[in-house]
Parts: sequence; structure tokens; C-alpha cells
Amino acid sequence: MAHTFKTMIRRAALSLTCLGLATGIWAASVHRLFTPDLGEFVAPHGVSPRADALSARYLDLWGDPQELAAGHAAIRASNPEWDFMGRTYLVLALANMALRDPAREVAYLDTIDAVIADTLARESSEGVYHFLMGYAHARPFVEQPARSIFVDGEIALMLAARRLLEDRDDLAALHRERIALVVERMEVSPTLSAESYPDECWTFCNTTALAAIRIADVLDGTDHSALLDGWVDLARRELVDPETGLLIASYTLDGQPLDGPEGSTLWMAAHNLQLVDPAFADDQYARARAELGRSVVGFGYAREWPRSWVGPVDVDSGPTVPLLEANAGSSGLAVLGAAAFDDDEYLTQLLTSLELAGFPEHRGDGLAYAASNHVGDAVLLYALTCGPLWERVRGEVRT
Amino acid sequence: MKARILRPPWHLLTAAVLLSAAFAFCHMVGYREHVSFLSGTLPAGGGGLAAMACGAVYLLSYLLAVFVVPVLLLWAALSTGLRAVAGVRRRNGRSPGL
Repeated sequence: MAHTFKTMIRRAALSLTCLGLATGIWAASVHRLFTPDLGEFVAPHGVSPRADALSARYLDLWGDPQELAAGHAAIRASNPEWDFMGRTYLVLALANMALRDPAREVAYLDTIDAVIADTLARESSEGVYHFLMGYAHARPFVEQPARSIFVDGEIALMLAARRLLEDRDDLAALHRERIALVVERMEVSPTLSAESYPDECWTFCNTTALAAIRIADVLDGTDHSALLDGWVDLARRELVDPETGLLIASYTLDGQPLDGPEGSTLWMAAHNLQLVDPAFADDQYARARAELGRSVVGFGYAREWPRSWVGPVDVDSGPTVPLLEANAGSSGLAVLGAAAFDDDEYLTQLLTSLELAGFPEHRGDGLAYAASNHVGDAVLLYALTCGPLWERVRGEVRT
Repeated sequence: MKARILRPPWHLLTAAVLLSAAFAFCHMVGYREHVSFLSGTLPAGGGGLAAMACGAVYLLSYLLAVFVVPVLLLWAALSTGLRAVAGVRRRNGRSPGL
């Protein structure tokens, strides 16, 4: 009896030891199955194979009105903002690709022009609320007539990117007009910010507008440095979370904080600020990386909120994996942050997670991620191609 | 003397095969396209909750196939190997240790 019991104990110990060893071995090695060759995703010169495959789907889509309408209807059913943001990221990505591969500039310009024309037409026919979520109707904008810096800032940035590739009088006039509207609203605001939604100023949108203004200064020889520097000074004083030093995501027109430091805002805001105040941008990226960036056994991800802040999961952020606090929106935009700030280690970890949980689907020459959507893939495409456009604004030459 | 045949841990191998088969089934019936719920996107072509459930089942079967099946196989291999080592030591008249 005692012998049988001892044997059972011995076998259980052996089995548990083997289970522990097996788990340890697999945990230490599983990421190797998914770790990508970084050169497949990002290229110092030219367009990487993944970016090329991702863009193929969009170039086809924008050449097929029926497919395009179906795609827009599908994404708008989830969130009309995504329809709009997908356009912005696509234009920015294609502008970078044109600078990376001048031989294909004409094809990229055709799609950029189609996106801008369609966006302006929809804004004109449907009005300012077309690209906003339903809650924009809940109350009136403080500043009248109703305008959203979300829409104006991103349209200004699309036009700016197009003009940086090849300037055209009609587009220049539209760009200057949009910049004038944005600047007018921001300059009269106590926070040097304009509303994205009624009495909600979003850092994402306002920094995007600042980037567009900076490009306008380069293109048109204007000088808005007082507004740009003033915004950064004010943000350092009043728009950062005292606990983390990170920019808060949203605030009222008179500066009352609404949402705290949110990953799905911060990565893009830091990237935008690279054109406005590089030192502040570097500082924000470093803080976001420390507070939000995470890695577990070689898989990278990003939290939506720092540990010190409890915030909601909204439709912007996408779902969050419990316990790990890995957030879809923040992790997707973290790829842009890591690429823009040349953080290869984190970028590799994030792309390893993408290969694990993005579910890439190759269709012909094109590529899409089944776990993603139009805006997610467009953000990824922009992350994999960003660099040349911002360098051109800063007068840098890629070596 | 007749050599003792070491039996593999069939329960682990069976579990690994069943989990792999479940993932293969989900993949073949096309549940993969429904994982868009991971980005908070409503499934294409409607379907609502049913499509999201298919996506969740696919994701679960995939994660089990990626993270659990290899552990089961390694566990089976290690336990067979260690029992073999223990058996040799016992036949040589030494303490099996484990």
C-alpha cells in the first residue's frame, strides 16, 4: 500500500516536472514562430513587401466603386470615424510610398486624388456630422457655426501631403482655406485648441491640425510658429497628466480635463508633434513607451491607459484583453509610434503579436488582416511607410 | 531478457490531436473571417452575435492549437523520455531517482 502511494507520488512529481519543463520551453520559444524579418515590413529605402501587399488592396478598392461603397458601408456600421480616418492614413501612406518609389508616383497620386475628392464631396453633401459618431448631435458645438477639428485637421493634412508630392493651384487654395479655418478657431480658444465634438477638444485631432499647419508653413512660406509654440507651452502646463507626464486625450474648450492619457491618442499625437516640437515628441513617446508599452515572452502590445488611470473602453479603443490589459486600438497605433521613433525592438515585438493575432490573409497580390479593418490596415500601412513625408517637411534627406 | 516496451502517454497525445482537429475544423468551415470582432468591427455581411461567436470559437481553437498543443506534445515527449531514463537506471540496479 505504502509502496503504491509512493509510486503514485513519484509519477505525479515526474508528470508535473515534465509539464513545467514543457511549458517553460514553449513559452520561451513560441514567439520565434511569429517573429518577422523586420526587412519584410519596413525598408529604409523603397517600399517593403508587406507595405506593397497591403497597399495593393486599397489601390484595387479605390478603382472599384461598388466594392468601395460596400467597404465604406461596412466600416461606417461600426464607426463613421473609422471611414474617415482610414482615408487619412491611406493618403499619408501613399504619399510616403510615392516618395519612396517615384516610379509609381502617378498610380499613388491617382488614388490620393480619388480619396481626397470623394472625402470633400461627402463632407460637402452630407455635412460636418457625416464622419462623426452619433453623440455629436447630443448638444451644439460651443463655437459656431459647427465645425470639427477632427474633420478639418485631417482634411488639411491630406491636402498638405498631396501638395508636398506635387502642388496644384486648386488643391493649394483648398488647403489654405482649410488651414485658415483651423487657425482661426484655435487662436481664439483659451486652450489654443478647437472642438472635435461639442465642447470636446481631442489631443489626437488638435496635434494632427498642428502638423497640417506646420506643413502649410513650409509649403506657403507662412509663419504660425506663435500658435505652434504656444500650443506646446500650454500643453506642457495644462494638458499633461501630473502622474505620468503624458498628454491627456481630451478636454473641454476652456481646458477642463475629460479623458486621461489614452494610448489610442498618444502614439499618433507624439508622431504629429515630431513636426511641431521634436523634443516634446520624443519625451511623450518615451513616456508612452514606459507607461503603456508592454512585452510578454517576446510578444509586444500596448495598454490603453497607464496603471495610474482607470478609464473606459470605448469604440475608439477597440476591445481590451483582460489581465494583460492589451488594447487593440492602442497596440495598432503603437506600431506607428515605434516605427516613427525608430524603436526597432518594440516594433519587432508588436509585429510578432500582429503575426500571432492579426490573421493575415493573402488574396492575390494583396494582403489584409482578418482581425483588423479598413482603418486598422491603413494605420499599419502608414506605420510601415512613414518617414519620407515628415523628413521632407523638416528639410531632411534620407541617407 | 525481453525488453520492456514503454507506453507513450496516450491521453496527452489524444488531447493534442483533438485540439488540433478542432482548430482544423474551425478553419475549414471559414470561421477565420469572423475574427474581425477583435478590432471591434461588426462582422462583414451581418450575422451579428452568431458571427462574433464563430470568431470567438475560432480564436479559442487557434490559441489552444498554438499555445497548448505544443506543450502537450512536449510534455508527452519529456515524460516518455524521463520514464525511459528511470527504467534504464532501475534495470541497472540503481535508484530511479525520479
